Amino acid sequence: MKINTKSLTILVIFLIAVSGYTIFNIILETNVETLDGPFVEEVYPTTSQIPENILRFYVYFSEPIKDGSTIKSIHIFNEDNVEVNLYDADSSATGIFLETLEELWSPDYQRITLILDPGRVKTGLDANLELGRSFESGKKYTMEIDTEIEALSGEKLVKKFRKEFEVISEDRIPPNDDNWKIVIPKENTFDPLRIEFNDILDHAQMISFIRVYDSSNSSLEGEVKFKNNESIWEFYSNSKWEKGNYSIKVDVRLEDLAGNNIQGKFDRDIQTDDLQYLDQKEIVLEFTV
Amino acid sequence: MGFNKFFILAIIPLVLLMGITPALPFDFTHAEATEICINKVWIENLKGKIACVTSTTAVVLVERGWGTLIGEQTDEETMEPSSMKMQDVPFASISVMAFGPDNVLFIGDSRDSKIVAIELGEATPNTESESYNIFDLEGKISDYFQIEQSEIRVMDLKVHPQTKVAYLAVHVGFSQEKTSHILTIDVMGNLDEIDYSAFSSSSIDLVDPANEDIVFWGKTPARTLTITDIDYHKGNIYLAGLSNEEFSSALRKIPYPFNGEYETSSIEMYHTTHNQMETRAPIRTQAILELNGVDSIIAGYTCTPMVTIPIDSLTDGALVSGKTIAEIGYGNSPIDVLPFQAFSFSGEGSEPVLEELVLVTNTHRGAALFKVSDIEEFNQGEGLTTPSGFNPAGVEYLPVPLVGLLHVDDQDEQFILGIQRDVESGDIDLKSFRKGLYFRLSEFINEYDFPSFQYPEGPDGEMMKGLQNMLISDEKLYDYLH
Repeated sequence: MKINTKSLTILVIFLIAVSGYTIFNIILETNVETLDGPFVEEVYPTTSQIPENILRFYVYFSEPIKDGSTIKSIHIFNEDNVEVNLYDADSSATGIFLETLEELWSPDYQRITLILDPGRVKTGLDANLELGRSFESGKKYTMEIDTEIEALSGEKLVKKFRKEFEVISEDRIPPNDDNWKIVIPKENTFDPLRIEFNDILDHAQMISFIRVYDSSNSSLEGEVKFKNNESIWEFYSNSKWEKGNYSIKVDVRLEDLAGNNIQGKFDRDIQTDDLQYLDQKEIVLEFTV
Repeated sequence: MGFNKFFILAIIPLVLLMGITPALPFDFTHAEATEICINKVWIENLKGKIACVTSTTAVVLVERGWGTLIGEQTDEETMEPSSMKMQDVPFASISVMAFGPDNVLFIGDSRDSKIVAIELGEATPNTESESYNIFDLEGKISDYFQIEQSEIRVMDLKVHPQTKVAYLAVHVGFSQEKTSHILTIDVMGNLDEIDYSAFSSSSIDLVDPANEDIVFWGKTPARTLTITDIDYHKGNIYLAGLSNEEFSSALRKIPYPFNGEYETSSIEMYHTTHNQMETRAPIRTQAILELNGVDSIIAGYTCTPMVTIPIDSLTDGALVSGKTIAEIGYGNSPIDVLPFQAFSFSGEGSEPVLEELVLVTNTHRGAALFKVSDIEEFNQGEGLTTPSGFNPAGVEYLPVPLVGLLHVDDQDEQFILGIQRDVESGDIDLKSFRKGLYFRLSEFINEYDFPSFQYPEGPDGEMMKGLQNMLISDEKLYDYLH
């Protein structure tokens, strides 16, 4: 039977239309959840292996949130499903997170920073000695963000957010640029510039504290992405890499998850733990494309 | 070839359709043109109205090119009550305030990362010492603005050094829609917003510039500094703050009048341990006073170590170690460190002498009252070096029954002024507390209130009766005078 081109075209169009409709519906369905009201987009660090002395979590929301009482909706449960951060004004027990008069929001009110009560993080403080760290190494915990959080629009979160994680031993090793591997992009490409840190670093600081400059010392515009749970930083320049010399400037305040920074440990023994790069604001890593 | 051409032609509309048409989460059948869109906004495209969504979602949808906004509904406008005076203000937000020389009011503006100085100018000193007894302060502010009480937040309290009028920093609303206001309130409870246009002001930016060249998820970095305390001392403002991206111990020293320059030093705090661990940590609240002839910062940290730092050591880029002089105990954060003077009676027949004191108010404990002379004595040693367990340690202090104090300031010779949360009603009240006694009589039931109580004959009885009547008068409960 000879195939009629016209019929075939109609058939193809029909098939495409059907498949298109299906794809369209799939997109529709997968997006329903993400768009029908405010929700938690992500919690950083994204790793499920959290050091015992972690200093910060960041929670990203899909739209601006009404500030003021967010922290009360963020719960941490231990393996026995007991909440370990209770806010009880009548007792001397404070929560895991530092409570501040003003919550620590990003300017667009879509990201809140949660600082772990430093009294319990730091070695040797009363709270640390008496109560221990907030998290116990080897145990599993769940962060649960309830739906009482209200967006600026007046809508409450449409679903709970849960992040399960295992607490691993404390991190008292500062980030060390000797252990970093720089992967240089090829000339005339949009390939990312990559630093493999061999350590999970604070994602927000990697955005603020790492800058790339060309040979005329102009800062390059581009986008940052993370891989391997924020142990790899990738910089996608807006323009193609041209042949030449470049430098990466990293602020010495860049921290890992436990607040250790390039200068040294978060809490240090003044007898034995030295600070380095004390007289400089940044370290410079040079590369050539 | 013909087939390929047809195929490509056929697929183009689909590709376009998939690229352009939004994956709308809402049911098109509900998007009737006649539907009333309450508290939300319409998005329309070439086909007409496509969705009634919140304004926030609308912004996102419009950004993604799904359509355009049609007339925002009017409720949006009515959210600003007509009575709410919107003035041109020299700040974006107020986190903290401090009075400086010549009645300058300093504003710590966290949203714009700057300090604003408002010159309030000459004022007639108020020599009358009268107590504040204002209950349900938030209710009064909410009446003033004609706005829901849940939208009101009192951020700080300072007393004008001359007029003794209370200045309140007030937030109205939430998040980026929030507005900040400076209200004055007198002992009669008269509230008013200051007329910013009547005063000249100056400011300094505390920039830690965001790197706008780099985006993450399509956004530029979101580094902010929340100013937690400012104090003026001998030509400089000392600023403590909390970053949302860094656990920094940076303390900024800013000359006033502003010259665009300031110095930043980092303070390391010794832990009270034998092994001399030290860390950076942000100061929560601070005050500046002279200790043994040296101008010093006395700083309160979370988990309540009190630390002293000589001001001279705060040079740009310096790494300074503070000396821990007291632990007020775990499970607590300091709210305010308030140096003030009060008359003290050293014994019978002696003349009252002015004594230098420091009051530290706390989140989870009563307040601690230190004598500056005790701090000076302890400060001459090496400071606390051993852990104190759950117990307070270091300089001795008098625990005073001032609980639930959210903000406190020195009012005048007789009183300190505080904003206190009433545990039973949950309201916040603006009240004066008599120096030397630090409590309000009505908060306690005492034997003197019983009808059958007789003051003993003689000077002791007279003195006690006088004291009771003074405290009753402080609260203006004249019907209850003994």
